[in-house]
Amino acid sequence: MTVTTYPVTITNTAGTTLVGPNLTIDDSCSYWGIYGSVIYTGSKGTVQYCRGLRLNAFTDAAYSIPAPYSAGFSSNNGSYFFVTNLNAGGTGLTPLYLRVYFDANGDNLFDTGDPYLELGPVTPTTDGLLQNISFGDTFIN
Amino acid sequence: MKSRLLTSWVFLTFFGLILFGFCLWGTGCTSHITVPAVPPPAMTNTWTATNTVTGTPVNPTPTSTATNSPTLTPSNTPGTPGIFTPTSTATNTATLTPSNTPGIPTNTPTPSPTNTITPSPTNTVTYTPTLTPTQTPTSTTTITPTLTSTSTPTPTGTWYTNTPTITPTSSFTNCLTMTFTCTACCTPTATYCAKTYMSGTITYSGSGTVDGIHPIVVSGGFGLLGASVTVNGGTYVIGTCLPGVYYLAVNYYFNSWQMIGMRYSNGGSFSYR
Repeated sequence: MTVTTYPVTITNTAGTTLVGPNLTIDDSCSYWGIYGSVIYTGSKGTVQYCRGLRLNAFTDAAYSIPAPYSAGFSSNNGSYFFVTNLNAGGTGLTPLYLRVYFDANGDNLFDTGDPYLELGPVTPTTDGLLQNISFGDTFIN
Repeated sequence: MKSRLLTSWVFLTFFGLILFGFCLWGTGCTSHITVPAVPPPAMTNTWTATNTVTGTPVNPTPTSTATNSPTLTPSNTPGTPGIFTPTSTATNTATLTPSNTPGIPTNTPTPSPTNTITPSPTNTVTYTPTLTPTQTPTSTTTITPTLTSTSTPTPTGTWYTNTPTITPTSSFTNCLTMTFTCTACCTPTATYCAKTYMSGTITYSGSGTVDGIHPIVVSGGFGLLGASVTVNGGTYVIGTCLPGVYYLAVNYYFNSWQMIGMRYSNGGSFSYR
């Protein structure tokens, strides 16, 4: 039931319809970040609960300093959302280094034999950067 | 011819000899008689030969064959003279006008005399028993397959069938009237009433576009009937039955229902006590 399309007028006191504020909104406040989907196209196994896809973010090009963003997927073509607003404790619009890998041996670690892809620096935007990720077996750890 | 010549020669010779004797006998011929030489008459032989050929004349047999050149076209081979036999039939194509179609004579000869046959004896057919139609045809419609309404999962507990009729009014009194039609054991609720409403407009001034997949949503927490608008500057109406203070949040889905990029704002408070 949608009532927003009906104009409302107060005609008696049994019920009250208040004249509310005229709300305004602009682009000054938005959720910054990166979002998209993750798809594994390789042949090292099927994405499942115990052999999932992992997406990690780092703040350095050596992929050694973790950023507070990560996502795990138990099925292919999942979605991720990294909100990076500073007031939410995020990294703002600083570039992030994203690495995604398929946990081929199911140990939940990025280790030998795992297909992976390192995307390099990805810069969040205030509108939200759509970064869909698709990778195969080109790179094996 | 030869015999005639011979006779003439003999006669002349004899006559000459006589004349010569007279001369000698008459010595008295005192003088010589000089007889001029008379040349013999020219002899003209005339004869006529008549050949009579008997037998059957025979045509000579041709020994050579003449060839006509050039070859005449068409090369007609003369036929054997005889009785002419036409080999083609000429058809007249001219249409006679008017084209009369021979009609069928319509004269009906009137038999005369008129014979009248009277069958005898007269046969009478009697149906036994007498049939009387007593059945009235009826039609039967059979629908196949038979539709069966099933619910999945099977509901448990008391099942109420209510058909609410929502009657929105352009001039609000105090609530939306919802009339329930109870068909089972239930307690009809005659009216659903949101006691208090608040309305206003929502305007987005950013770079996005407000539409069906990029709406602006107003929410205020538990108990508050929120609202959304799909047109920039559209009117929102929110309401609640629960006393309290509600803090409104306005969100604009910049990326089509995605949280990332969503604009947010605190638009004010709405209180009901």
